[in-house]
Amino acid sequence: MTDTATEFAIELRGVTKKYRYFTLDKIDLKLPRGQIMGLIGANGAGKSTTIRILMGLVHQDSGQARVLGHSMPAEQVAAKWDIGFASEDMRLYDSMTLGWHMKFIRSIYPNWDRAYAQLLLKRFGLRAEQKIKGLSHGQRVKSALLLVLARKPELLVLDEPTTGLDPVARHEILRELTHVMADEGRSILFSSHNTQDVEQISDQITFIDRGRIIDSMDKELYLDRWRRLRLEVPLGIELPAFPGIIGLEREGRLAVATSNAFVPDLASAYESTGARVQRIESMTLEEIFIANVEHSREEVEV
Amino acid sequence: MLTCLWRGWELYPPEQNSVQYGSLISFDHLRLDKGLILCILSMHSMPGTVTLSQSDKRPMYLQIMEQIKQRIAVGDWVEGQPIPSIRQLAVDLQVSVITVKRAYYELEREGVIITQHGKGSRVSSTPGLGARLREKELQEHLEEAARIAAQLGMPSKQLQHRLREAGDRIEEKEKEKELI
Amino acid sequence: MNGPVIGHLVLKDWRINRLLISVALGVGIVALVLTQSGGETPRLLGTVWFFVVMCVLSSMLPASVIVNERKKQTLAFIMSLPVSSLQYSIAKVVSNWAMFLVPWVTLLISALILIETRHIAPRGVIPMLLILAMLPLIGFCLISATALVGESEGWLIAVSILCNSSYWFVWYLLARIPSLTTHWTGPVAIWSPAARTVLSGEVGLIVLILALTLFLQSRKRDFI
Repeated sequence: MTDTATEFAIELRGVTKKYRYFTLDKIDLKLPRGQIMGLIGANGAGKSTTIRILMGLVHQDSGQARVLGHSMPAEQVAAKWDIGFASEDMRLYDSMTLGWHMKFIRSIYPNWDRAYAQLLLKRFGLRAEQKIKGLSHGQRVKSALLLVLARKPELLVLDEPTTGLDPVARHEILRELTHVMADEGRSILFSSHNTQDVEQISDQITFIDRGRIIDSMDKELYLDRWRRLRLEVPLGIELPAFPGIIGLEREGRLAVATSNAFVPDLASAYESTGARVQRIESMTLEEIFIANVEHSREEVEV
Repeated sequence: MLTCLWRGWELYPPEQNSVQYGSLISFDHLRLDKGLILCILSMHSMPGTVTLSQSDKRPMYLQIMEQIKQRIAVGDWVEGQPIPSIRQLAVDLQVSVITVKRAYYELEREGVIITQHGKGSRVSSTPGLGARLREKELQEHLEEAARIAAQLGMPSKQLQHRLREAGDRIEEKEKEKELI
Repeated sequence: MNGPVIGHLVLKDWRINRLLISVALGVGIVALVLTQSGGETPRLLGTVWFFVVMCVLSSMLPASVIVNERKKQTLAFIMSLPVSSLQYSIAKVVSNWAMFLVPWVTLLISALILIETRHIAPRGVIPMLLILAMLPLIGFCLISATALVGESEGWLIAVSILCNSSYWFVWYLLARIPSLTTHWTGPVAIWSPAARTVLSGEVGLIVLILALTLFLQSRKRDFI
């Protein structure tokens, strides 16, 4: 049903959507097939809107959205045969059992894997005979994910799959998501606040803030570009912010320079001003997230 | 050991036999007591387990590289032995494929492993690789010690003395263990 | 045109709402049984109930089938299936109507049978009965259109109250048309031109509302 020659599972080009109090502005995003992309952003940054547009649930004002080779929202029916979608604000039918939902999905999708579904029930600690209204939040999330995983879709689109879950449940879900990776043809896009999860399992990272994409690239290359330089500066010497430095904090003789485009020359540049580089530290994705957002908001305000 | 094997089996669908890779590959974050116990069990009973630590601030690909080098150095993985494919290790460790790719790329650059297109990856067949890696580790530690000594302003004679003392202490501990 | 998936959605709605339909049908049947009894009070009760149960169903059904989907946030789950927003609307219209028509047709036919066989009322009343029975059907059509297009509970409540409180006024207006009422105590059902006009007007109105509903639904750009 899909064009097997497509290189990208998801391609958004110049996608724009205007709401009364919020605008999604010229979103460009590419997810190569067989990879996992983590979409990070603060609340209200536009993650859910972007996801809805690529699912064809919301019609963009301008720009193209192609998912698994299908143009959205025009070809959404064809695309959705191969996409598994779960979002944080999605609910199942309270009065029905998990087993009924499984049967429902199974009746629609031909490639439901029964054995895998049973395995997931066991792994997630769920019982098919239970009604949805009797489940805890974590169990509901896992139920929704089970329904989506057992179909083995080519593309998984997950809006905050681990939000609000206890560490055990999160671990169970991450394990299943990475299992999807064993198949080269399958791709995942997931949005999350949890930078640790994103840092661990994503191949590509996309940062979105206030309706704009700030960064979108290979995770390892991205992590490599960010460094914190801890400097010891004699009093009386002014520290310049070299190109590539987006943050410079100083207190007395100690300073911290944050770079989003690190090259070893930067360290030597600082040494030449008279400062001593104590340490060059890599940054966790959470630290990068905060530094990035602060920096991009400063830029916009200026 | 049993616990970890169980976890190992649980990770793979029946078709993929994890045991063929010899030592155990699964891991757990050091977040929960459950995870901690599993990790300790795995570390003490199965030498050379590849584990990633959350508290280790170094990039994941470096941790993976180091763990692989350690297993070779210790002798768990011998020269020429096939190692898990990039995708397989990524699934086992629950990290992104790109991170494992990078680790393997750097390891290949260092001559530690060889990846052949279509045939997978294996430990480099250079004889004495394990010993060489051990040597390198020692060298790095010595240089770090020298660096810190220089920062402290310690003269090299004193550093040598300290090194001898440390060596003696280790020997004593080994003797005590044998007696028990 | 994606028939199978639409079919599954219709069946799903039936399965989830079958309690509501059963209760409505049950009450309607009780009402009809009452109309056969000897006393005047039960007969009056039965007649009124018969009509009222249709009116209540006409607003409860769209609420349960359509508005709840948004309120209880199951819409995203359904829209993640391979179905477009227009196909979803069609499925909703089909399931909603089918669920209303089952009790409506059953009760109407039962009433007609009872008139024929048990003479609970003179046959002359049949045209008027039909015209009156169409009223909750039109009300239902309007309320479910509002539920689908309006997307909010507020609109649904407003239109429900408007419809349910207007039936009596419409009945009052219709009762003032002489050709509709002159023969209703007679033994024969007389289909006067006025009766035929009113009936075709009612059917036409339903068709118009349905077409407008589907048109407006297909134009929506933000479905969720």
